Amino acid sequence: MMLQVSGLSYSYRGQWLGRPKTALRGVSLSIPAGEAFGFLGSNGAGKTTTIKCILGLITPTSGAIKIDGVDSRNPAARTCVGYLAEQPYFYDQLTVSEAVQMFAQLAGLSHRDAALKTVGALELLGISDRRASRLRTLSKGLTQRVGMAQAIVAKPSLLILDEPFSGLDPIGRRHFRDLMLRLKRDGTTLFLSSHVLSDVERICDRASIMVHGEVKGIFDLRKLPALESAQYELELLGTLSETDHVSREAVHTSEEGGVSRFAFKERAHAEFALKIALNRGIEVVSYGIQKGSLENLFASIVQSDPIRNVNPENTQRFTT
Amino acid sequence: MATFREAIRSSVLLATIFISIALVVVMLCFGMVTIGDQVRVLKDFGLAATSLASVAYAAISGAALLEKEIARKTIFNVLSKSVSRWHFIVGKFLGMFITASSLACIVGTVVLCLAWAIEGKFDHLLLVALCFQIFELLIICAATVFFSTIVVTPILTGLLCFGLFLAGRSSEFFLYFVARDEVGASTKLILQSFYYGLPNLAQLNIADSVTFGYSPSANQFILALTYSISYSCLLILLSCILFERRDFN
Repeated sequence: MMLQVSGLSYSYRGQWLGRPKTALRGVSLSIPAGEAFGFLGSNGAGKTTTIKCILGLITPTSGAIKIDGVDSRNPAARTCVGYLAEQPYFYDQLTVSEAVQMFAQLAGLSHRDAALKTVGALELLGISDRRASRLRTLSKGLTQRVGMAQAIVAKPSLLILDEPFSGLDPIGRRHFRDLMLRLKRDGTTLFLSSHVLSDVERICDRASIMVHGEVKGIFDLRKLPALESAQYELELLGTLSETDHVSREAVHTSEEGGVSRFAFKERAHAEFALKIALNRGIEVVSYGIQKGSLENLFASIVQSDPIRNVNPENTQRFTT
Repeated sequence: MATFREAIRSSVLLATIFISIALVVVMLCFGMVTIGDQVRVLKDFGLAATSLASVAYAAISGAALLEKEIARKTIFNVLSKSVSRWHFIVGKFLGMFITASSLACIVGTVVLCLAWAIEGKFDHLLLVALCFQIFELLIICAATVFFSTIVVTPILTGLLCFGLFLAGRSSEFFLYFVARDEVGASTKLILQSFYYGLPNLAQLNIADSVTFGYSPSANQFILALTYSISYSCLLILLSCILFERRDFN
């Protein structure tokens, strides 16, 4: 395994003498070499905290992390790691070339190799014409490109990307996506945390969804259509309290603007619910098959979280 | 090297060098109104300006050294590589020390050249005094790194650093009060612990002696060097231990 996270938990105190807050609860992940893994979750779900634990920036309360078989507490474990932080900042007074070269040397390259690979990385990211520019003069998008250049300059075997598309224009976003696909083809293991689900769907082989510090499911994205094809959706006029007798077999329920929405895995369950609704004189707004996508899956899981969900019984249904 | 490169390109360093040299030139003008003591005034005030400028620079720029890295998350990029935390601390210390020493050397060289031009002979004792100031800087830079690992606000770090410098320069006063009878036993104990615990920077300040032509012995030089290295190593070791436990939330 390139990355093995076992039972990772992290608690911290926000303020002195304040109650400890739990950011991570028993997170476990196994990512084989060469895989592109999507790490999804809503804001505050614990994605960046998990990444910080992997990189040794914070010490987990419990659990273990191994990078290519080496304990992550050992700095040598990070020799093969490239990391792009969310909204990266660098030393203002350094030039683009100096900064990338410095990070290449920190990754263990000799001065000569670092200089050579810096030229290649800057060309790959399309910023070789800005090599002499001071970092403080760069826009957010260009800084993001410098961040990516320093992450890949030493040809890492594990590339951890935290919101890599933030601050990029559509061309830049496409460039980054193509670069990630190229790195994946070359055998680099990608650990991609992003809110841009369409890109995760295109790049990654598998993805996990985190909700409130817990991994709620790990999915094979190549099998996503099959996974989601059995979603039947029924919309009824009325609040959930007025229509809940039809929702016994629903995997997900929600309510918006006086319309109750029910999702079923089995067609028979959906048809049975439709029959009950018609028998009781409840007006049917719509009935049909829901098209499968990562976005639907993400929404189902995040909305079925006990804190947010209208129907708390559905919490564990998506855990695989 | 990044710390050094950042520092030498920043306006703070250039401004400090400019102000210090301006101060030396002003002192040269003051020296002109004295009778026969122009060089002595220049050496005395020149060495004081060199010391004050380099210590002020170390305290001001060093105070935000770690805080800036953490607030701007530049530290994340560095520590995500195979870099140990102690490696990071030692690198920061060396970068800051090299920058502050360079500043002292530039201002010191101006003083040396002016004294040479006026006096007509090269005063090697000024070089010795400059060496002692660099030994002192070693301790000040280590103290700044130490305070920045335990204190979260840069202003407080800067104030603690200046406080340490003033207390270290005045360490002989602690013994003066200890010798007085009206001081209580507990106060004496506190003053004694201050005297032995705080760095004895007074021993590293030989500007007055050098101005009057006194040359420190080789033993004094070696002792000062050993003391500075030992004290700064201890502070850096403590900084590394404290920094190792820190979480970057």
